[in-house]
Amino acid sequence: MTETQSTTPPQANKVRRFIYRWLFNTNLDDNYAKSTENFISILIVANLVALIVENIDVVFQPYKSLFHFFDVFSLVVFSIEYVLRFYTAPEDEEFKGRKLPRLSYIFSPFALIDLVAILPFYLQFIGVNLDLRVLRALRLLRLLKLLRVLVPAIQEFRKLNKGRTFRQQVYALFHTTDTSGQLHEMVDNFVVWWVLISVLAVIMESVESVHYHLNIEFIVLDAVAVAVFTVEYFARIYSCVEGPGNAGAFFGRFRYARSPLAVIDFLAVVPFYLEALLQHLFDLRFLRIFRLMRLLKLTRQSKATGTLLKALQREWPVIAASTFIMLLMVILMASLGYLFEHEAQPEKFENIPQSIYWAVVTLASVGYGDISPITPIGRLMTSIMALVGIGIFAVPAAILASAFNDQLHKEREAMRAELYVYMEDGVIDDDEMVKIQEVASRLHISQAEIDTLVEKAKNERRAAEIGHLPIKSIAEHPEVAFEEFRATIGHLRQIIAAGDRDTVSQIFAQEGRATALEKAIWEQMNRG
Amino acid sequence: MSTQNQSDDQHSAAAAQPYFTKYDAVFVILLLIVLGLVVNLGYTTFKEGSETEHTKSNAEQLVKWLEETGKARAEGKEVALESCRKDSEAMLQDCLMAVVAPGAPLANIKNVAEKEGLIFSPKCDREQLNTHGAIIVEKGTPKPTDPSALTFAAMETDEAVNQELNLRVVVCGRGFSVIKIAELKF
Repeated sequence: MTETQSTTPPQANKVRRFIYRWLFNTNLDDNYAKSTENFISILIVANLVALIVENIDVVFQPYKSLFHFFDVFSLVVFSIEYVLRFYTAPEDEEFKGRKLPRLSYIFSPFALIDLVAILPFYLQFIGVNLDLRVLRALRLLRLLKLLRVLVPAIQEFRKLNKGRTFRQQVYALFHTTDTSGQLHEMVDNFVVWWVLISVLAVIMESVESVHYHLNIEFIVLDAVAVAVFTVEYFARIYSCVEGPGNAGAFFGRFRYARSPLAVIDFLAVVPFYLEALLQHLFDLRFLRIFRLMRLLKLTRQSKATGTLLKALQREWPVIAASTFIMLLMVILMASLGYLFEHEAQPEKFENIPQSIYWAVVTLASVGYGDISPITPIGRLMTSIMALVGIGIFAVPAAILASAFNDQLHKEREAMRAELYVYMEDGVIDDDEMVKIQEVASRLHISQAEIDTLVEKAKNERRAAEIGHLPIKSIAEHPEVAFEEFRATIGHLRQIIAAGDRDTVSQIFAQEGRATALEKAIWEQMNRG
Repeated sequence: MSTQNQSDDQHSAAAAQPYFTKYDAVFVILLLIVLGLVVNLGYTTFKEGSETEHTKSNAEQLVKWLEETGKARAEGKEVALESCRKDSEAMLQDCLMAVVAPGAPLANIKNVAEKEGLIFSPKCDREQLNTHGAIIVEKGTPKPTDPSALTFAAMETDEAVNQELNLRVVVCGRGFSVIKIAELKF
């Protein structure tokens, strides 16, 4: 028991413990510690963004008061966090054993960082004159607060990867493995944020008034994004040989480099290099639009995309066949259109390639109306083809939708089978539950559905344990019903033989414990 | 349980391998070289972007001067530069060169993107490096179909200054991209 704890009234201890448990104890799952950490981290990053944006006069000047309000809000939040951490220090595992836990907290590295993050504001508040540039530079120190989440993640990563090679560690950092931990999630989130920021920048660059004022900022943003994506691309290429199916220093990496995700990663950075190196020779501004392809990098994070790709892969022959029929239809219709309409409208149906545009627009039911048939036979042919087109053009979409649904169904069945494997020992532990939830989130299964599936698996397992078959199969097969009945009688005999007959008879005799039929069966079998 | 075993296996397998091999060093060196390239290209792009910003700022100064002078010309007020007066026989080209001549109101304007670059150019041309970073003053003429709308085209060298001109100022920026600054009456 520490000095501070012994002198504090018990009620205060209760409040302090509650606050610590509720907001800061990261070892518990059922509290808001993770949310607090995330909120503070987001606020720190937002502070950095605000600090950068404050240097852009055209954005800063009209919203000066808003920026000031945000700064004050951030300071209030950081100050409350500091005070609460100071107050709850005696509950913290790190300081509770010390003689003066709060004093130990004040001089701990993280607390010093927290203090540095808020101190300049208070110094200014009490009249210490600080240069605006110094003040802004000091505000950058708020970034150090991120160390509070970063350092534990690095420590966890080092612990999980102790004894592993450099390349294995790089692999674990960029891919989901058993040893990846929190640090991998942070790296993933970091890349995702840069994808979103750079795509947003590309979109905003197309707005002339925005581009005019923020030209330099967009250049810097793109260069940083390319640096991030280049490091990621190289790290993935270098470490991919640690992954399944990519063994071999050269061919393994070559195989990986040809994979769709690696090609996307490559295309995300290559426009920058080409434009920077060759801009004096060619007009490569069109390449900038390809930076939007960075959005495809997010498919790595989207687990449902994998299901869709599998469905597409599985149904590819059918889709290819229906696409072929579709192409035949287009060419046939374009040729007929040219045949019937060329003489009447030579400028619109000039040749078959030009008629292809009209055929696609008509068959796909878009019908812009800029080209339309005017001859009676042309109109008749168009009516027939348009009706056929509705069916033909819908086929690939229907196949894909059905295949996607089928794939989802299969994966759900696989998950159910996995659930039964987990249930072999009778319980589902935390690790197994995490795995189930990961699969469930990919298959869009809600928590309620998981609970139902788990309950169902438990019941079926219980039924299997006592030898009962599902009622459905008993109802469908009389032979099975006969065998099941006999097995049940045998099981009853075992119960009678194993139990204390006199005591069980006394329980049966008690009022309201068993029905007349149950009593009769017991007596009959007990006698036998 | 199986995951634990697998992890243990991996650990024991890893223990046999050295932590950092020469191939890892090659990767790290390669990564540093590429990062160096990104920094270099990023810096070059940033420098070119800054030069474009400088050119834009020069063009904005010119636009301000042209607008003020244009207003003075319209009101019949005295214009300091003789070649820019409405009663002058000079060409617009002469007027513009006079504005940026030593001792003139905008003498500070220079082509910051190219050492030997033009201050004013009729067009932004990739084939002519010296047009990079230049200011382009285009002349607007009413569209035949809609006289209220203007179409802008490269100025002829013999465009006289003794008339009201609809002008558009653009700059030849990074990668020879044309950036519009303003449209004005002179």
